[in-house]
Amino acid sequence: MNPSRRRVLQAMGLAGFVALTGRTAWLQLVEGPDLAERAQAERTVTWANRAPRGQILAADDSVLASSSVSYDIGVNQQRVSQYEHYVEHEDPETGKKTYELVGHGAVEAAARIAPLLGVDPQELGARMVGSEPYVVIAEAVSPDTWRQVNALGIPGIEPDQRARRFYPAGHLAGTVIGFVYEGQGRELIGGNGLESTQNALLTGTNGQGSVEIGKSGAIIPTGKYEEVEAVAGTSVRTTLDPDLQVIAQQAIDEVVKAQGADWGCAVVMEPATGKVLVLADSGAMDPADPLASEAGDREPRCVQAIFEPGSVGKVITFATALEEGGVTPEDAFTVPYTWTAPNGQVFEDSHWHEVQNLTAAQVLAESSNVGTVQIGDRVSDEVRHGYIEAFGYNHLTGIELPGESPGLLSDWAQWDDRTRYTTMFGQGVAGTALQAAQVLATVANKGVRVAPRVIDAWIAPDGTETAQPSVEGVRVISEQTAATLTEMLIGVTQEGGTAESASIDGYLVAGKTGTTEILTESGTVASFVGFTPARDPAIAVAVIVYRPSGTYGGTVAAPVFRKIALAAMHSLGIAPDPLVIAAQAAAEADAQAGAG
Amino acid sequence: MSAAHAYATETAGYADTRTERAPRPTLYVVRGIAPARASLPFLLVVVLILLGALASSMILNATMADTAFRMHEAQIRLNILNDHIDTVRSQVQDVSAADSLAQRATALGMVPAGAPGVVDLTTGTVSGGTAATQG
Repeated sequence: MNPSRRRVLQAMGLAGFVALTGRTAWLQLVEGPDLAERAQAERTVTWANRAPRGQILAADDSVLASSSVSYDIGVNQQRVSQYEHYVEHEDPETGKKTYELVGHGAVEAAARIAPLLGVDPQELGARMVGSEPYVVIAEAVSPDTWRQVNALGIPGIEPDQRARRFYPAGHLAGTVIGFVYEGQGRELIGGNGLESTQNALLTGTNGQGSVEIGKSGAIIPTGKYEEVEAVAGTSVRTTLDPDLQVIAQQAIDEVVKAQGADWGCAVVMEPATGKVLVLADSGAMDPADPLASEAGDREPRCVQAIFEPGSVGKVITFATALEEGGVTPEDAFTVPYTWTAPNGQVFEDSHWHEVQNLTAAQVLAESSNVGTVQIGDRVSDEVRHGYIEAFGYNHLTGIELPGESPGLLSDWAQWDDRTRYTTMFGQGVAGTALQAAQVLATVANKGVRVAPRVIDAWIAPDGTETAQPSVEGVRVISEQTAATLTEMLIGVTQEGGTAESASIDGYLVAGKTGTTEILTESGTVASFVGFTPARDPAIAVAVIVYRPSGTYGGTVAAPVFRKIALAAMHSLGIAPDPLVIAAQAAAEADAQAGAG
Repeated sequence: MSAAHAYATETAGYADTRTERAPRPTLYVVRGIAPARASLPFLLVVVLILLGALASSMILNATMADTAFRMHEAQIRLNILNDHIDTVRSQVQDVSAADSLAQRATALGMVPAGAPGVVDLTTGTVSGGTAATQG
């Protein structure tokens, strides 16, 4: 070979070698890490570990709200039309398998899926015919059911996995629980009730994981595997007694329906602890389907809607007069039907009567406005205003529910000549049903007001419980005054009182009816607030019915009170007192309610 | 070797100067015979090590692949079981909810308890109390 030619070839060879070496080095050293990363990304599957939202529990740990995975099933109508259902036959002699076509298309698919979903095959079939790429045919299907559907192997049937909120108890305490909606990335966000106020705690922290898989989907043993576990949300245990809640909701729904009322609510709380056992709103929404209810029925009216407490407000006036005005239950008052106050304002009682000589206790038992203003007049406006506030009006109770109203109470210096008297019998002041219950609970708790709470404890995912810190009560009236007032309130439910119909066989009831005309529209608010057993109270109850057809609290709200209070006595296991036999009026109210 | 040669030359030179002495036998440096090492066992060891490494890595890989496959299968079974637990748990929560229990109790003919009455043993009469009634 020609030496120069050899040189050229050598040079070319060398150049080629250098080029290959360079390229290899380039690939290995410069592009290598990037390429390796891309390759790894291609064979890596990642997933999000969605943190389950914390549960909301009743006081007995029964579940009111929980999260679990469910599936929406969609159908690709074009693909499902190509479905062919073959059945395998095996010849027993030859062992030869033959396949027979037994059906095809959407009709056959619907016929096979419908029994699993528990729906009508024809209705289901109708939704599967067409040319849409995705039509939802079933929502919130359990994982088991989805697996059965999936096992049929029908083309075009596609799952959509979702973490859903379940409310096993349906309407039960719906307004207290609230509801959730899906935010960005389908994260569940509390929209009302405890779901809303406790949202930050209920929401957990999402995790994620990744693993390298081969073509078959099997995990590559030496591949990279990373997983960050999700941290579940904190669960919330409420103070609600679910069985009592059911009874209260039924009772309040029944009375609202029978009376053609706008709405009603019932609150039951433990006076000594402030634990709210029942917070029942009429027509409470189902948290799973909030839009099915009207806007007002989605809110916890017990803590949001305010009304003039009416005669319930007299309890505060009497407490103030006993504590500050030197009034005793035996003090006598001359009570005419109409009475002119020193400032010229004229007041009258709800029913016409002759001039009566009544003791202070009788004034309360008969709920006389004229008697009450005379008693209230013994205390200055400033002091009375102070007591109305001390009993909880004009202040938030701090209950863990959204949109709580503090009520309305103007400054005493701004009270006009009439308002200074009307506030004595619960007009010109407004508050919620919870606040009304709180007034009686304070009397029941020997004069100490304990703020109502609906959360008992928070339970972390690892099971550690953080109990609701106990709030120190505030003394409003002396123990002596509370005891005296309790005896006077017992008189209200005895024969001759306005709330005989609230008396219960076996349990002494202390309470007060209330009937107030609504200022903004026609109609009244009928209420009964009370506690039982009166001398050793276990529960304080407020029952409010807004715009009933029957006017008076005694006839409308008291029977509801009895139903709830009796159930509570049974459920709390409180032994009846054989000396207490209910007033005749209770039986009559029963008969009336039965007829209504 | 060159040193030996030089020594030999030197010795020879010495001999020349003292010729009257009896000649000394010539000394030769004899190269030692190295024992021939058999290369076969060494090769065999190398091959065996290689084969061993190959085989063990194959076995290891196969085992790992098998484990991965079993993990995959177990994962699928686990998912099915978890799904089943979820489904059953929801069912339990549904039927144990207070309102479902109340409905079930009503369906079974149970009614809420009435107010307690008092039996007077001296007169044999019952005062107060209401019978548990439907609704």
